[in-house]
Order: sequence, then C-alpha cells, then structure tokens
Amino acid sequence: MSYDLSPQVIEQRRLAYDELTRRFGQREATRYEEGTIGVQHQENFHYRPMWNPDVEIYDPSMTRLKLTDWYSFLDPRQYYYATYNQARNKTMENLESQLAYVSEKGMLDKIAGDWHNIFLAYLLPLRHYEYGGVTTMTYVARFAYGTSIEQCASFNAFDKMGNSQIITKFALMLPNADQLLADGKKAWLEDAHLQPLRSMVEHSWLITDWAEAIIVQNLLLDPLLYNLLYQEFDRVALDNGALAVTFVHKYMSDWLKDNLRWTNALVEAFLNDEQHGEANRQAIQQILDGWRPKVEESVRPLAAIFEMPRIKGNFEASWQQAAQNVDQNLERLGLNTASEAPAMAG
Amino acid sequence: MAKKLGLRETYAAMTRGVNWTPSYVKEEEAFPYHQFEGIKIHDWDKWEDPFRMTVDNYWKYQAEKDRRLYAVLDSFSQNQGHLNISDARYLNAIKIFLQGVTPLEYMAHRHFMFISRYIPGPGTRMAALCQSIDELRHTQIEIHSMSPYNKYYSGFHSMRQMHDRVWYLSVPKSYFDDAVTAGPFEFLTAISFSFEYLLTNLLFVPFMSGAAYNGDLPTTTFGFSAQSDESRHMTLGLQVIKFLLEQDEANVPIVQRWLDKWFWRGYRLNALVAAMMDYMLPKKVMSWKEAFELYFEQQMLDGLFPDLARYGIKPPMGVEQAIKEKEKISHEVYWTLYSFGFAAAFNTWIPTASEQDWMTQKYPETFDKYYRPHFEKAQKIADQGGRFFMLGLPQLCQVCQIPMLFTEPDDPGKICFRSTTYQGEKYHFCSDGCKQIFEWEPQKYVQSWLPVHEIYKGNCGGPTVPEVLAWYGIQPGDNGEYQGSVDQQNWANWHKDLATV
Repeated sequence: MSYDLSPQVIEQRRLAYDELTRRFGQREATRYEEGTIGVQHQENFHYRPMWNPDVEIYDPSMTRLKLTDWYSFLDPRQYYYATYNQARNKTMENLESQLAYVSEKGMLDKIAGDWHNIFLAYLLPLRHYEYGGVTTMTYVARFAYGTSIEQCASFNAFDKMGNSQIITKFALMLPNADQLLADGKKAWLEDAHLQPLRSMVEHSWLITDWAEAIIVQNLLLDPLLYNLLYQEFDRVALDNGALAVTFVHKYMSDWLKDNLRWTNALVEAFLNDEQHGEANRQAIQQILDGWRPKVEESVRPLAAIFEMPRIKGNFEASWQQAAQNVDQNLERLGLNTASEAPAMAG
Repeated sequence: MAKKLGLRETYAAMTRGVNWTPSYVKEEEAFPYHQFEGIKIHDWDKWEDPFRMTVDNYWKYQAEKDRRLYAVLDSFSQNQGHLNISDARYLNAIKIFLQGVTPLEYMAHRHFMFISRYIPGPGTRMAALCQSIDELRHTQIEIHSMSPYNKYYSGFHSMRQMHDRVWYLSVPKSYFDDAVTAGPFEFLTAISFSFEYLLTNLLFVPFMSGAAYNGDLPTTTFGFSAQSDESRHMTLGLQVIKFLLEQDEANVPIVQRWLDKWFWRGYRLNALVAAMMDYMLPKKVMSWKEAFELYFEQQMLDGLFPDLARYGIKPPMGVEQAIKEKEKISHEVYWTLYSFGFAAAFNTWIPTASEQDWMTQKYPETFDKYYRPHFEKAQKIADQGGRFFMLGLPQLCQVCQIPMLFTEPDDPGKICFRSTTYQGEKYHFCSDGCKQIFEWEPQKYVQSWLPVHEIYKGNCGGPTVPEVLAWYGIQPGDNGEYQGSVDQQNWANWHKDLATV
C-alpha cells in the first residue's frame, strides 16, 4: 500500500549548472558530474608562476598527450570526495576486522621466525616505495589538466599514503616493531635487491610529463610489483603458513584493480580521441617501450625473496605470470606489449 | 612482546619514518623550489605536527561527516527547503560565495598538492596532502549545497566561467593566482597563515552566521561540517609561521614582508564581504565594523601579534588604515556594486528604511553624513520609475583590482588615488598598501588581467555592454535591480501560494 504526499509544486528554472546542461542537454546532473566537470579554472590567469614562468597556472602543454575535450575522460568509479571516502572507509573497516582477527588468533605469534626477515626484505621497505609513489602522484594531481583527471590522481596519491600506513600498521603488530621499522628503512636505503627499485622511484619523481608519470607508475611499475608480490608471492606465503600477512596482500591487490579502472579509462580516452588518438597512441607506446625495460630491471631483483622461505617459491614462473598480467592489461587497451616492442628485440 | 607505540610515535612512524633523502637523483632536482625565496630551514625535525590524523582515521571521520551532510542536503531538496529562507534577497550573498569563494577552495586543493610534492619536510608534506583533499571536499560540498538553489534562482548557474571572466570576481581570482604563482613558503604564509588564520573569521563567520540567521540550511550545514577541517588548517597556518620564524633569524624580514603584503591583499578582498554583510543579509548578524573589531582588532592585533613580537614580527602594514576604514568600506563597496549592478551576476537594491536606520545606529559617524544621501538620490530616481546606474567602466586598482572607490583614510569625501611609473607606463592604485605591493614586485603586477582593460582591448566578447554580459555568461535576471527581478517576483508568487493554502 502506498499513499500520496503532495508537496508544493514549483516549476524548476534549471535542471543543472550550465556547464553540465551544455554538455548533457536538459537533464539533472549527478553529484559526481557537478563536483567534477569544468571545475578547474580555464582562462585569464593573472600571473606566470615564479617557480616556472614557462607555464600557466593550469596548462595543457604539461603533457605531450592531448584530448580534444579534457572532460571526455570521466572516472568509471564516479568517485568524488564523499563517495571516495565512503568506499575507502569500507575497505579499511574490512581490513581492520581482518587484522583484529589475526591478532585475536595470535596468528602473528605463530609465524615462523624466518618471516620477520622476509618481511624485512620486501614488505617493510615497501612502505617507502608507497610513499615514493605519493610524491609522483602529488605532482600529477597538481599539474594534470582538468578536474576529472587530477581528482583521480589526488585520490591515488592519498591511497598510496594509505597503503604505506597500512604496511606500517601491520609492522606495528609484530614484536620489536620500532626496530623492525628502522631495519626496514635501512634495507630500503642499502640492501642490494632493493636499490634498483629505489632508483626507479627516485627517477620517476623527475618525470615532467604528468601523463607519462601515470603510465609508468600505474600501468607498469605498480602492476608488475603488485602482481609479483601480492599475488605470486602471496601464494608462497600461504604455502609456508604465513597466513597473517595475506590480508595485507589482498588489500593491496584489490586496490591495484580499483586503481587500474581509472587509469585504463584515461588511456582509452587518449587512444580514442578523434583528433589526437593516433598521435597519443604513438606517444603512449613510446613511453611504454622506453620504460618497460627499466621497470623490469628494477623489480626483478626481488627474486631474492622467493628464495627465503622454507618452502621456496618458483620465481621464474611467478615473474612470467606477473609480466603476463601487465601485458594482458596493455593488450586489452590495444597497446603493444614488451615482447613485441622493437626496443626489446635482441 | 610488542612494545606499544603511543599515538605520537605511531604518527611519526607513519609520516616522518617513511621519508628518505634521494641519492640516485640530486636532491635539488627532486626538490627544486624551496630555496629561491631565501627562506632558510636547518632542521625539518623541529616541525611540530599541527594535527595527527592517519589516513585510516581520516577516511573514517570524513565519511561519517559527509554521510550526515548529504542526508541534510537530500532532505532540503526533497522538501523545497529554499522556501524557508528569510527572503530571496539573502541568496545574493550566497551567489557571491559560490562565484567568488568556491573556486578559491579548488585553487587551494590543487596548490596544496604542490606543497605536498615540493616541500622536503615530511611533516609538512603530510599536512598539506590532507589539506589538499579537504579543499576538494569544500569545493564539492559547496557546489552540492548550492545546487538546489540553482534550480530555482538566478546567478548560481555558471560559477567557474564567471570566476574566470566577470570583473568583480577578478578580485578573489587575482588574489589566489598571486599566491599560487609565488614560491611555496610565500604560498603557505599567504594562504595557511594570512587567509586561513589571520582573516578566516572575518571571511567565513559572516557567511556562515549569516546563513544560520537567514534560514539557509545547506550553507549552515556545510559551514559546520567544514569547521573541523578548518581548525586543522588554522593550526597548520600558525605552525608554518612559527616554524619559519624559529628556523633562522634571516627568515624574519622575509616573513614580515609577506605578512604586510598578504594582510593588505586579504583585507582588500574582504571588502566584498563587508558589503555583503552589512547590505545583503535581511537578518543582520553584526555590522562589518563590529566583526572587524572582534575578529581582527581583538583576536589578532591584541591576541596574536603580541605573541609574534618576540620573534621581531610587527603588526602588518596598513593596519592603522584598515582600522580607520572600518567606518566606510562596506558602504563604499556596496554603493559601487549598486551603481555597476547591471554588470554583476547578483541583484542589488536600496536598503529599506529600517535597514538604513540600522546603518545609522551602527555607523553613527559616517552613514548619515556620507552614504544615506546616495541612497536618497537613488530612491528619488526609483520613485520616478528609474534605476540609478553608473554607465561606463570604472578604473581598477592594478593590484587588488577593486574599482577606485575607496576614499582617503582621513577624508571620506575624497576618493583616494595613487600611482607610480614603471618602465615608462603609469599604474594606478586604490591605496598606499596596493601601491607598495606593486613596487615590491612590479614585474608581477604588470601582468594583471584587468577586466576593464581587457574589455577595451576587445577581449571580452565585444565593445557593448550586452556583448560583454553575454561573454560573462550573465543571463536575464542575474543582474541589476532586485525589486521586480525574476527572483523577487518568483519569491512573492511562491509565498502568495503558501499563504492561501
């Protein structure tokens, strides 16, 4: 049964802000659209930046890629601030209850002692890797053109800070946590198997083309590293009974999938642009081909950790699988993969 | 057994603990912008975290705040809550807020990312990262809060385009463009300290209290909801200043000059708020003069600056003049907005008789003598069916970009003009303060995009008023007189219907 409420009927003068009705015609807009489309300032900037007089405050020339319409990219997740926070809060609550369970069952006490050394060889140093990723992504958030793109990068930057803190949180559950954190940092700064990765991260801070920075971090480096560690090495951890850490691995894996959604949609927007699509394709391919070998060289030394557990992992098989996942994503986007790239020949 | 770390140590582990100095790239390549302003930082570890909010806690608190905020907005829309405000005249204050302030929140969002990227101190970087996404929140909750008004009222429909183009909006726009084009420490002094700390109560309290007094539920709700974010931003502002002053004595004169500049810039920007406060709120909160005395003279001059004196910091340039002007600026600015109201994206009107009496009471020294006669003149024209407008374009101050409307500090009967010559060109200013700011950085302010100059240069749609208004995106009803406007007529009709139900 239903009953009729009769509110006062007043004719609406407008359905939405002009920016949106110009684009979508006469219809109501979603909150994502209202808070995103056309929000960034576009013209009549007053002064040139003292820190870089060559560019405007917001300047489309800060990437070699072009979009005829910068809002042809919209976040498939429709994240604006409120929905982003709600989504993250939910996954975080989930992780918290899992970690509480880990703690309640004393699962960390049951982890064999050698796992503390293994954590020191990958997980603990990777909180620095994540923090380095914040640095790269805050650059993108400042200089990307248009609110729809920079908003995704802003959330990406904040997520990476979150990822780093989640690892710290996990470390704080372990015995002698402060020593472990200090040793983890020392490993990040000094251990041979991590230096190519740290060098890679530091060099990615110097990428001035923001779209290139997104492609390198989100299509190559993060996917390869995450697949290798949080998917492949996760199985090794499970084989060895290190159940406690699997929830952290899963959080990271799930996050990667979520982050790829906007990244892939952005790449598609560049590739499908009627006017600039072909030039974008060439530039993106060039970026991928140029960086792929460096990215692989920076991640490959993590092979060392597959040797550490009692039941060793098969690194080569895992590496193939991780690289294949990266390739499959690129293929889905219609891009060439490493094996086809001329740069890799011979 | 695991040694439990305290909150402070945990936060330090999560922020400072993850930072490292690069060695595969040069440090000055990775962080190229923190030295050219001459600020010396010796020890980033001395930075006191203004707040300690980890990412997971941030998500938790903010998600809960937003849940409540959006529930109010949904219910407001569903129940035609806009009919319950004091009067449709009130919404003109909120139009100015959406056109003038919301885009600044967005600018802050983007540029705190710059701070987070380029300041090498990890504590500052984390605080800036949080503030950046807070500012995105404020941009969006303001757009969402005002969206229900846009559906029924004029002047809300093209916030961003108007901010980029309309003459009076170049005042807030040039202010923020000035800050983000400066170096990172000047930006922090300008925005975190001068804007968020020194002048924030003068800017936000009039709007938010005005909203509460006038039944504007969405604005009141986002005002309250943003308050806890703002208090974090204020603490950051104070920490920035203290940190800079404590790190090196050589920083003191640099910071003093920035305070001088940014107090005056911000104070001039607030002149628009003064006019809004005294003239646009049907239910008054307090006068501009009272707000200035409370929030600036008492809280800042008597409260904050004695504290800063031990570093050698003096109250900023222009304070004496600002104190003298508190009797005048709201009237001078409103009269200008009224006179050029045909080109503004909000309505203006002659204050009612009782409102004019309120002004007399609040401004006994000046209102009857200098400003009431303007409105009497305008009333005479209105009585004959006309509307007083100043046809023509005003001369703008090269720095603050407000029309030359301010009078001499000691003579409310005489317009204040200042000028200087730079590289053979003459530049005009509204005050000694703006002239001084120009002379410190002439190479910056010669770049100003001055709306009136641009109209004359042919960059604003054409030479006639209708062409310029079309280029601004101003639609019929947005501008001009309130009496007889679309908003006024609709409001009267809607409430007539209500009365007969």
